[in-house]
Amino acid sequence: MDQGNFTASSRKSIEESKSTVDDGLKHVYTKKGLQAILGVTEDDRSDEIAPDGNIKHLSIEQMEMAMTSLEDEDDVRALRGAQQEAADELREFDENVEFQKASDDEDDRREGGSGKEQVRDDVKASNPVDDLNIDVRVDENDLEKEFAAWQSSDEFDRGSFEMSLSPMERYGLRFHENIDPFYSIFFINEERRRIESTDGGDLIDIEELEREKAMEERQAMEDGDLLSTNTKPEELIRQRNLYRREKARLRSDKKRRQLKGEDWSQRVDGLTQQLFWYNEDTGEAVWDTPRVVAELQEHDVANKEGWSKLPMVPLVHVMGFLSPFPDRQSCSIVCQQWRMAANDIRFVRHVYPVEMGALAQESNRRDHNHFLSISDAVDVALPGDTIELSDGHYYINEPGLIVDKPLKLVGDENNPANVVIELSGSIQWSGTGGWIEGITFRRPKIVSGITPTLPMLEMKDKSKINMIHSVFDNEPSLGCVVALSGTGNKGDLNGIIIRNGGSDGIQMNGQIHLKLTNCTLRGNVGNGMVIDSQSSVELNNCKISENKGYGVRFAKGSTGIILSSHFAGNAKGVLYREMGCNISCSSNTARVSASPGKQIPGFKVTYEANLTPNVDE
Amino acid sequence: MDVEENNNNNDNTIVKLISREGKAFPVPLAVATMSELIKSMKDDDEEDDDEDSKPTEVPLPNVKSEVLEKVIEFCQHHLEEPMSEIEKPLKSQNMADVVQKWYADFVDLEQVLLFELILAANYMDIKPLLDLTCATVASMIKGKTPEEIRATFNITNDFSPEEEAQVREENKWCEEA
Repeated sequence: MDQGNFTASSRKSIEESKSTVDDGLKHVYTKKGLQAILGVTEDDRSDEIAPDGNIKHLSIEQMEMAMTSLEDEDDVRALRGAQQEAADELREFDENVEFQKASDDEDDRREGGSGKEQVRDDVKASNPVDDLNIDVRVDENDLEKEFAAWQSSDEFDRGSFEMSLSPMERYGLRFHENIDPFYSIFFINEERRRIESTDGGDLIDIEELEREKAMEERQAMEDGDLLSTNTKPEELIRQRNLYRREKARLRSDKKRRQLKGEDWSQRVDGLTQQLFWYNEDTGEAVWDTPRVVAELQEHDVANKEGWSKLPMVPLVHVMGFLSPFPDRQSCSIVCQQWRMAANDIRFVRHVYPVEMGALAQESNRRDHNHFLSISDAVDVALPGDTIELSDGHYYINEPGLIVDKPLKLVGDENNPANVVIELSGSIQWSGTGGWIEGITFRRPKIVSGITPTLPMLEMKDKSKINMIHSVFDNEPSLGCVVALSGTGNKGDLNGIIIRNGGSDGIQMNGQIHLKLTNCTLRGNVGNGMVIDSQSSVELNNCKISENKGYGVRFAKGSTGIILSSHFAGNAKGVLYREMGCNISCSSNTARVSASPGKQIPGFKVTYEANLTPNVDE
Repeated sequence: MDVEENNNNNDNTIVKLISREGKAFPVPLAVATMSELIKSMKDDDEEDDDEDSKPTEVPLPNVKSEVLEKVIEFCQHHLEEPMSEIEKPLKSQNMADVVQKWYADFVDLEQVLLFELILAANYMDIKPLLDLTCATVASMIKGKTPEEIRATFNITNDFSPEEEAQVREENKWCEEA
């Protein structure tokens, strides 16, 4: 091979022209390519015989044009070419492939289109890509006819084409056709053989290999994977059985250890001197007691102690079949373990706030304990259930929410400002129990329309509620904030702020008992609270201020106890007592702007002409 | 039998469950794999299952023969007539109202055996059996006061008086007015 004779540049140009010519030839061999070339070359055919360089340049340009116009088909053709190559490889897995093929090609060329067409059609038939190109093929059929006609009249003149090349290029073309290293399997095979033979020359450390093998065998024998190394053929069956039995035994031992947790043992960590668990079979090391060990311990305890120590998993499962009230609650009083199971976290229902996509989330992404709205959760909840609200905003729309079973609504125990319910309409509570904790209720900003007149919370007959650390802000409604109506309501309010009522803060109407501890009634347009006849109220350490009416107004026949509470700036006065009510007060303070007409028993009254608003709540 | 066959003919494969007493219970693979414990173990095995002409043995050192027998009885029947889902919360104290008759009869057991069956179902991780046994316990609790529950299950109250007062206080919010 005389490759060495070429200079770098000339080689490059040769390769360029070679590849171009090669591409060109490929196109020449396909009817489309020929068509394209034909369109331009026919006029220029006479030039082909002209001195090289020009014509070469020209033909490259033309071929490039042809190529661009055929780009889409090129993909198909490239595939076809690859397949043909593969097919050829299979057909003639032989050193002579390339030579054979080259001569075949030459024959084809000499014979004219017919032979070549035949080959291509064969390939086509086996080519699935063509199925996708039926339309193209229909067009091609027409072109093929045209091509055949042209071929019979005027054959492609290889001779003149070659004449147009420089001697060097001709050599390149030949070289490429006959022994192109990228196409010749012969060459590749030779190359591979050469490399292999050099590889074989490398020294192998046989001793090293032997040592490694011996090590492996020793290891395998220790593991029980290998029993013998040098076995006589007649011993083989016996050995195999032995091996199987041994392996099965080891495996069942391992399984037994796994099931009994015996593969785990406690060790002492060298660094921290703390105990940790180590698994001899798997090599795992963990700080916490492994699950299997913990479960087995649970089982042991359960077997000894009986029902009171039923493991948590089945015990929680039992609780799952009971309704939260009264059965699950009864269970919580039975014993410690049962109490834990009855109050298991997975019994709590959750509602997503708007911030967590409550308005957009798809229903199939939630489990049975997660809801998109408070009313959905309340509908599904069982008596005694707890509904937990996450930090964020919730909406309760007109006409509001009806709660007719004992439920717990829990927001943020530490700061009610984190969980806000934008409430339209009112919450009607008629459950025999209720618990509201850590929630801010307020009115949504009303852009247009009607100002609400309903109370935020309305207690119906014989209902009962505990409220802790929550805020009711009725701005800008016209109604009162909390109304208790009907007979036998009970309420226990601790740390509740009731403000900005459109009328009174709290209205009691019926045989109602209400107890307020650490509560604030402020800035209500009416009285701080109104107690009707037959109802009773107990205020302890409350602040009642800046209400437009009285601080507290007692109707005839009502009962009240007011202890350690602070009244300030209530426009009409501290208390209003109708005749025949039974009120006892002690250790209270009151600040008034008008001079007090008379002393109030149990109150220390101070007079301030310009009473500043009470800012602390 | 090679792996291939093993996978194709699960029904014919026999698994030997070994009770605490060492008694072997040969059962079809389909019955045994109702237990997630055995199933997961079987899955682990299959990777290097190259020999095993004899049935796989599964030692269950925590399960007595008496209990294992009941477990197998349940699993076998469950393959023929799957247990219907038990509604939560239970709507009746009578198991026959919430599940098919066979299952209701099945769990009509001595309390001790029921207890051990729960432990076995939990240990072997057989969900339908756990459902059935736990629902049975729930049906025995339903409608009882804490004192009655303690008496039924022979449980000693391990709360201190203060703790018990606290628990009762916690529960007060939804007691009948």
